[in-house]
Amino acid sequence: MAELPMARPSTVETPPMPAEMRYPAGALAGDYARAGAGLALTVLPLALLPVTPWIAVPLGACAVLFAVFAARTAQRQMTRLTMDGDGLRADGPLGAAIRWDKLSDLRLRYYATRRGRDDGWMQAALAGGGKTIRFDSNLEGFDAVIERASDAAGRNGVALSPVTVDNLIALGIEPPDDPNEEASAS
Amino acid sequence: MLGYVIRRILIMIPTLLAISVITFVIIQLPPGDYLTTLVNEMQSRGEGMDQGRLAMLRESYGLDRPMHEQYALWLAGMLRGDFGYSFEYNMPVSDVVGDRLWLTAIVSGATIVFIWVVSFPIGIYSATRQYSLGDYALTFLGFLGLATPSFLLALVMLYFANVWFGTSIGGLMDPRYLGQPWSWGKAMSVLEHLWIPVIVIGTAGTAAMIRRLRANLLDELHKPYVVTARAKGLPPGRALVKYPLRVALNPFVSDIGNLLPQIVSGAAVVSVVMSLPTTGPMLLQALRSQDMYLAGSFLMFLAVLTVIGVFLSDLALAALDPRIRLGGGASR
Repeated sequence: MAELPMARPSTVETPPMPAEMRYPAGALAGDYARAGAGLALTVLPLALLPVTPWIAVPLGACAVLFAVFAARTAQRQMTRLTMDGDGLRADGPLGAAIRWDKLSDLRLRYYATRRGRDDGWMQAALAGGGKTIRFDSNLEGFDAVIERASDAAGRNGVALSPVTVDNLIALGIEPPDDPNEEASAS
Repeated sequence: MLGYVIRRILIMIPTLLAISVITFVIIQLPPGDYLTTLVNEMQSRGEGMDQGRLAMLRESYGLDRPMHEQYALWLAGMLRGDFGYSFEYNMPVSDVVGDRLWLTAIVSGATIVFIWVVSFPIGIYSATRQYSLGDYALTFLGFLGLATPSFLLALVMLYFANVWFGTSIGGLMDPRYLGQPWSWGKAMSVLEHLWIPVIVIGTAGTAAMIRRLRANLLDELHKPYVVTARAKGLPPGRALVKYPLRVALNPFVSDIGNLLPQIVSGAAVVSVVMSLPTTGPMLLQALRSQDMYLAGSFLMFLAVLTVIGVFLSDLALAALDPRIRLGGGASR
C-alpha cells in the first residue's frame, strides 16, 4: 500500500539563502518605469486633449491598471519575506504568514511577452490557512522558497496542476507525487 | 498576471503609434494627392480647374502643409473622434463610414463565432476518430473549403439562389432599410441576411481551423502521458479533456489575433461580389481614389483590430497555459 502523503517526512533541507528576502532595486525600478510610462501614455492624452468616449474609456481603464501596478510595485518595495522551518512570512502592506504544515495550494506560472516565450518570469502563489502570499521570480531567494513550498505541498498531499509541475521541473525542482495518482494506484 | 497585462499594454501602445505613422506614410506614398487625381479625372473629361482654386482647395484641406504636421493633426483628430474629411464624398469620414463599421463588426463577429462553433467539434471528432469514414468525409470537405476562393463561393451561391429560389441573396438587409435609422425590423432583416455572408466568408477559416485542431490534438493524443492515463483506466472523455485538448487549443487560441483582420480585409472582395454594405468595398475605392483620410482611417481600424486581437489571444494563452517552454529561460 502506498504511503500516505501526510506521513511522508521532509526530505528538503532549507538551502542557504538571505535571512530577509526582498525585491532588488533594479527590478523595482523597471516596474516603476513601466508604471510611469504607462501613466504618461494614458493620462496625458486624457488630460491635455478632448478625447472621444470611445477612446477615453479604454485609455482610462489602462490608466487605472497602471496606477494599480504602481501601487503594487510600492507594496513590493515595502515587503520583506522571511522563511524558516515553520513557514513563510511576508511583512509589509498586505502581509501574511503561512505555516508549511498548513500549505494547501501552490501555483507556479510562467509569463513571457516575447514570441519565443523566452526572457520571461515566474509568478508564484502560496495559499494556506486562509492566507495567500504572491511573489515573482525577481525576488531574491525565489528558488529556495519554491523548493521548500514544493516539499511542503508533497507532505501535505496537495495536488499540483500540470502547469505548476512543468514549471517546477523547468526550475530543476523535482515535483512531489500526485496524491490522486497514488490513491488510484493503491 | 497584472505584470503581464501591463507589459503587453506597454508594447501595444507604441505599436499602434508606429502603425499609425506607417499607415500615414503609405497613404502618402503614391505621387500626388487627392486633388491631383481629381484634376487628372477632370482633364480626361475635357474639363479643367484653375490653379488659384486648386491652391485654395489644397490649403483648405491642409494638403500644402508638411507631412509631419498633417500626421499630427490626423492623430490628434482621431483621439477626438474626428477621423478627417473624405474628399470624395465631401463629408467627414465618420459620417461616410456611418453604419458600415457596425455592420462589418456584426459580420466579422458572427463569422468568428461560426468558425469556432463549427470547427471545434469537427476537429475533435476527426482527431479522436482518425481514418474513420467520418474523418475522411470531413477532411474532404475541409480541403474543399480551403481550396475554394470565398468570392467564387459567393458567386456560386448567388447563382443558385437565383436559379433555384428566384431570389437575390446579395446585401445585408432589405433595400427598404438602407440608409434608415436602426429599428427592430432593420435588425431582424440584418439577421435574416447574415447567415449567407457568414458561411461564405467563414468557410475557408473553418476548414483551416479544423485541420489545425485535428493536427494539434493528434500530436497530443499520441504522447506517452495520454497512453499512460488510458492504461491507468482514466475514462476516454476525461483523458481527452483533462489535458490534451487544453494543450491542443493553444495554437487555436493564438489564431484569434490573426482572425479578426483577416476576416475584415479578406471579406472585401466577397463584400463587393455580394453587395454587402461593409467597410471593405469602401476601403478599396478610397485607396483607388487616394481619399487619404478615409483610407487611412480604415487601415488604422484594421491595425487596431489586429493589435487588439493579438493582445486578447495572448491574454487567453497566458491564462490557459502559463508554462515555461524548455529552451527558453526565465529572467531573474
